[in-house]
Amino acid sequence: MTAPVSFAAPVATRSQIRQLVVGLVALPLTLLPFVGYANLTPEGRLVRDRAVVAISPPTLPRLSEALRQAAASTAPRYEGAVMALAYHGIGSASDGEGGFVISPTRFGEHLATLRAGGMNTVTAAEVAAAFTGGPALPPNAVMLSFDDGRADAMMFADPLLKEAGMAATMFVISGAASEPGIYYASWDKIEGYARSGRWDIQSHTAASHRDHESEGAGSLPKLTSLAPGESLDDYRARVRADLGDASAAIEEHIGRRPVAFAYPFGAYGADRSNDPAIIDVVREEVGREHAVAFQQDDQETVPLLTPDQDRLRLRRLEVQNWSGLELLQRIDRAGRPEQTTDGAPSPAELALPAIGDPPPPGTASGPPSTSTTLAGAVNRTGDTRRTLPGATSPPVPAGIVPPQAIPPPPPPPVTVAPPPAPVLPITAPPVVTTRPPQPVPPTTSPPTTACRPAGKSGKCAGGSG
Amino acid sequence: MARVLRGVLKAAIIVYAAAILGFVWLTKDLTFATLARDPLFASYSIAVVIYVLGRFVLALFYRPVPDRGYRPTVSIIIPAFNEEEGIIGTIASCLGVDYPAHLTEVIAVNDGSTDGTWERILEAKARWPQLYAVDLGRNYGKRGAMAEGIRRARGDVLVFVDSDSYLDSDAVTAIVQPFADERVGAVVGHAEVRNSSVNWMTKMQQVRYYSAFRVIKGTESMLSGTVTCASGCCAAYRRSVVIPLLDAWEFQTFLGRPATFGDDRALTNRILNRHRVVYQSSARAETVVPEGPKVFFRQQLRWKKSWLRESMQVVRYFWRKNPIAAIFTYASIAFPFMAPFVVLHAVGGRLLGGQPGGLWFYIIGTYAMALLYSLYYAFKRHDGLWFHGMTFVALYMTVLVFQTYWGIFTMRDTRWGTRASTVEHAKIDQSALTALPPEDGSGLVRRGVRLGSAA
Repeated sequence: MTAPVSFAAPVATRSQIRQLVVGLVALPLTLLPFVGYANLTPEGRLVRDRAVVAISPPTLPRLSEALRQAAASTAPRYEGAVMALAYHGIGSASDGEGGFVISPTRFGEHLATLRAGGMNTVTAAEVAAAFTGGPALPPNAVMLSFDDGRADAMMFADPLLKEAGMAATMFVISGAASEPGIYYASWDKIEGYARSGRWDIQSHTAASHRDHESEGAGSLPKLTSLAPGESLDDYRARVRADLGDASAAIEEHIGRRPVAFAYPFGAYGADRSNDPAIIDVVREEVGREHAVAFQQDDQETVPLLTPDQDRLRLRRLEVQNWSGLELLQRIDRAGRPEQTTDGAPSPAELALPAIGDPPPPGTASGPPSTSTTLAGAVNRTGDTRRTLPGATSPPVPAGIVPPQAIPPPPPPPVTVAPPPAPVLPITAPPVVTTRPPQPVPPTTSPPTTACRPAGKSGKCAGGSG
Repeated sequence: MARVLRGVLKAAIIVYAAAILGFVWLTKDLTFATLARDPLFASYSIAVVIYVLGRFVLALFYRPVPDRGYRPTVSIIIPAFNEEEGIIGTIASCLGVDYPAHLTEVIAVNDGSTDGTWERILEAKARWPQLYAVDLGRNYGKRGAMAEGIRRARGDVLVFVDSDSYLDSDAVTAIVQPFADERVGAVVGHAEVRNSSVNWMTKMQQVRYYSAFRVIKGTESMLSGTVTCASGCCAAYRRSVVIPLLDAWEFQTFLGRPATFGDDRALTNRILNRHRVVYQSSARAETVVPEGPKVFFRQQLRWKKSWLRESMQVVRYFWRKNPIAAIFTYASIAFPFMAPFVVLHAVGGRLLGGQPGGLWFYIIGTYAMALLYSLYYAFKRHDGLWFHGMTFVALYMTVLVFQTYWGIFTMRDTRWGTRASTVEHAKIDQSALTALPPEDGSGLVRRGVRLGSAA
């Protein structure tokens, strides 16, 4: 017998060691395609966001004492009315819609600040009920609403709403929900959210949330324009069928027929139409199905909503990447159109750039032009119960309180501007836009909001000084 | 130190694999969303993911049959055709196995080689008189050589070794253990790639072999012994089971042509119909794989053709087997037929638009599965070759996947591709045959009596 042939592993040779090292180095490198997918493709970003929510769901920020007090003093006080806020996406603003997408952190800050300011959230269904003789709305009512039924919005907003004990309204495009993709939530997701009690599901059309080639006027929103060769009667039938489809789908999946409607793109026929009769036809058809309907044109003068307004053209404020405090100020200012018109802008208004105006170049790091804090602190002592525009209450006195007057030290986490800083007047008249405003570049804070709570220190992140 | 490193590495791989599975889970509604839009594509994807994960998860529970002291008589049969370079090494490894010599015989069958193979065998015979050397006189094809070896073998268990394969010294002891179970008709051992360090092609095949054996054969074995191919590089059969099937197997025809290649799969298939075929990971052999693309693709095509031919038999009886094994097996037969269309559809039809299940999703999904496949190897083996598993998947998805249909169209071409031999079936002419049985004092002992005259 010869020596048995042995195949036991010999001592590692140099090439084997090299191979081992290559194998070890390759291990982390194999992550790269996943990183690329999660950052460069829309579906990859959604998956990444989903992983983020699954691993560490967003939570409400803890507001500093100063910020809470600032919120309490900034928040408007009113009864019998509601402020309607329109959000679109939450998540990573990388899909070319920067202005319509805010970060979950920012949304959490909004909710925390609204809560600190004593605002109460209501749903569109509650607004519809209150405006048609049902139960009255709570004081300081705010309707949080999202359009389109976007998957990212519900995914990020839901844990935050849960923590804040708040509710929101989702205007879903029923056709998109039936044909789910990476962008729109599917019906079973939406049903799950609706069951939580935190989401009121309402209508945003079935298949009319898009532009189409209109009769002689190029590309226009499908809901507010005639198609080529379409008569007004055809148009009415088309709109009726579409709204009916949306209502039926929502009833089938959610169990309740929708009572509220949001016009796609905020367009209700006043513009972006090719027939002057449409504005009335679409209103009639919307009114057949719904008690209330929302649009969002002129963002400069969004009022608090009251039952005496046109219930089928109620207006919403498009929320952008504002700080929580600024949101409260916007709500406050929006509720006081009289001040814009009488030529005596309130400090709050002065403090805020016109929506849609990009921040002046250089202001992000330059000296702040005015102090938000001051504006916010003005006259917000809680005693001024605001009744509604057009109601009998006298204009709110507008006295400038110097920043030092702001309660307790540490300085509130809003811009601590050199006192009586020269007020930069709003030079441009409010631009009436029917299109949503330009996105605010997320990295550039408007001058008045240069300060946001950074961490829990309440320190000013945007600088100033 | 090395053990700690290994532990850390294994833990990292587990975490990584879990993260990939989490990723797959998170994309599930992207896949389901695609289901509505593109049902065939999505259901294929879902089925493949379940199939692959199912295999891998099951394989984690595979254990070989331990050595319970079962020692049947064994005949090791080496059919050889033009193997003058490697035949001595193969014979040496077979004679050197760690198995009682009186229970072992080694039969080398020269299938009419035109080179010096027979001379090498004779040299070996001179050195090791216990070798049983057979020269068929002319070329009959691999099946003829194997069949002649079987007819001359006297062991209860027949072990086949390709002439380019090498048995590990304890492989025979390990491979006979499952035969203690009367239901087992055949056992396949575990093949490693001998020339795995040559180039990327052989490295890739090493990873491929590992998972093909450890995962696919491992799971098939666990599911009531339903391994569909006892690969020729290291397989053992119960002699009493093979003998009745011998003629039908030796002279198998398909589409009017002699079925030359796929001898291993064909024999397994016939045995599996009535018996169990199991995988024994502790019975290790090394085999030499093709080093160049041309030979590799020819070998793959040959395997594909025999797979196609034998699958037609498999589908007829497999439903009677273990139901889970049947599902896996029918799926594994269906997938390769669908795969080329799915690949073309994914690439051709989805270049446009960011739809769920778009091209990127398809690519990243495929990548995730390839990575899991490779990580399995990395977890089990620490030679740094693991990432070549992804090379294999890439090659599979781009080229090999289309071989199914190429194989169908060229089915009647029964040339080997890697061998120069192609012959019509013929009964072995015993008069032209040279047989040199073991000489006195060596070779197999049967029932306590030495075969051949006692010394």
